[in-house]
Amino acid sequence: MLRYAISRFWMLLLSMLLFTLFVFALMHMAPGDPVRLLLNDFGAARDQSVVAAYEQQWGLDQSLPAQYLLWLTGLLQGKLGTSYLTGLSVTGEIASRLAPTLTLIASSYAVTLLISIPLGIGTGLREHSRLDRVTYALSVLGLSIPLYWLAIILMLLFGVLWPLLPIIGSGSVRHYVLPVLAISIVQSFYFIRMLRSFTVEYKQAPYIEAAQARGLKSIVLYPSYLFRSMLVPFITLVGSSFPAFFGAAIVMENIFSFPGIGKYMLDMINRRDFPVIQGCSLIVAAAIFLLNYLTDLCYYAVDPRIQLEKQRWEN
Amino acid sequence: MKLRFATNTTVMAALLFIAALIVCGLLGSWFQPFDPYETDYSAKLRPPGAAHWFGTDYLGRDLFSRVLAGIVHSVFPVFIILAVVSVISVVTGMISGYYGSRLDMLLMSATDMFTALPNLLLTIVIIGFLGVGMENVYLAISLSWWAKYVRLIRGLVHDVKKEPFVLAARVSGSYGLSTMMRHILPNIMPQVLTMIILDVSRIILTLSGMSFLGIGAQPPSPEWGAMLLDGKNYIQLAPWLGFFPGLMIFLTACAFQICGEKLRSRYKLK
Repeated sequence: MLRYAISRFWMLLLSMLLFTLFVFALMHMAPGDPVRLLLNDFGAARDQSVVAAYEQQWGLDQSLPAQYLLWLTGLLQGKLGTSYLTGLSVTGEIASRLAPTLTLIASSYAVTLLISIPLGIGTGLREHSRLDRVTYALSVLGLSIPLYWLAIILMLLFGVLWPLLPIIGSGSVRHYVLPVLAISIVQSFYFIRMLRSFTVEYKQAPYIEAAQARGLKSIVLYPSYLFRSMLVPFITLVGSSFPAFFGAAIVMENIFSFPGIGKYMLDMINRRDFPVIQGCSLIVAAAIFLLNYLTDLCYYAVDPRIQLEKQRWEN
Repeated sequence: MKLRFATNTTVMAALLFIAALIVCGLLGSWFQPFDPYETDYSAKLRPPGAAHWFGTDYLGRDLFSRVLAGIVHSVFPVFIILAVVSVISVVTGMISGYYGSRLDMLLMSATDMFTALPNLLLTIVIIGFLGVGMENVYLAISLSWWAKYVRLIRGLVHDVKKEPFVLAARVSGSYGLSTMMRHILPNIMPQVLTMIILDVSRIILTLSGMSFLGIGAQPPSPEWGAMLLDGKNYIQLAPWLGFFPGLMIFLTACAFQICGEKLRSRYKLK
């Protein structure tokens, strides 16, 4: 276990390092000089000494590898730099916005699982039943519904036509209802479909048939034979769908004016505040890589036969 | 395994819808009752009616004409992206799967770097640094999509490579390129096409989603996602502004999804 955890950890570090390189390279391919862009706003861009002073302050006058190393050592010390726009530390800005985003993601996960576990496993056990056909038909529709449109329709229904829930801001539990509902509806279709196919696949295993032949009742058979063997794909499903949930959270934060990371990121993309974009994407990437790492460890704990090379599905 | 949803009627309806969409897109201005960019302040925020089927927006532009004009911006780029991505990944995947060994390892580690990064993050980082705009969205989507296909195609090639007819062709003196083009490619084509068609709806949703988030197409472009963003701000005054562009995204994605599902059940893809 420990050996697996350590060797897998090097892969985590390597992907993170590659990602920092990628971000750094992109940053320097970016059109427009941030110093001049910013100083233009103050009407001071023509003054060469001001430009030079700012470049020196931000280390932009050094060579590229030096800048990269400087930046990387800063990252390792937990410094994500300061926002060009506000001059505040990016770490602090992100930390203050973490809670709403995480709450949104966690509650959407919970609701999605609540909807999809019974439906996915139920339809998988009873293939071709009426419920199965209806959920399949709905899932074709559900996989093509734009999340942002669904959210707007929910807003229209429950915020405008029948003003039941708030449609802007955050603060109370009621603010979370609509975004969580929208995310869960869209994600559930995917989850139901995957869970259904796992159930169909695993219920045909020889040991299930053998247990059935021994006369085991469903109430014993399903939890201790079927669901246990489905644990590995289930963990993969939950772990690998984090990016999808995060993406959905970004969209929801922007629609419902939620003060989370997603909204912050997009606002700063429009203002070209590079340290913030860098900081946010690094934190998100780190979270995703770490989650993948934990997912892999979970596999190993559940099924020690699993090798390092195990391919994960692409979400 | 036949489920009742992918019947021939729904597939026909979906195909008709796609055909209509393509015709309307190609002959765009012909079908549009109004100029999609022309503002008319005497007729702003009109609800859907006889003159303006989908109503008008806050600048008095006819929404129906704008939705039709949007086909070029929301649907056609998807075909181009997928064409480019699939050519790149078919070539890479075939070479990797067919020749195997070191070349395979090299190509696979290159794709691994891209698959490790989630699509959305890649898109946001690319747009964040290279700037807002449709070209960068296309670039980002292509970059994040190709690696996924390479893996799948490589797997398919791996399976087909061991088939007797491929061995027979090789024994009778067929070399690399000709074996790949004449014997392997035709055999993986159905699966590759199914995969691509199943992804059309996801790419449509992603493209419009980026515009909806304000980092793709910019106003006054009649891109559906960008129109939906406008509509969101008028949700209390003029709900039709958000409804119709979204409906079009939904219907288009749905049509492609239905065709994809049909193909998927025909070719037994996972």
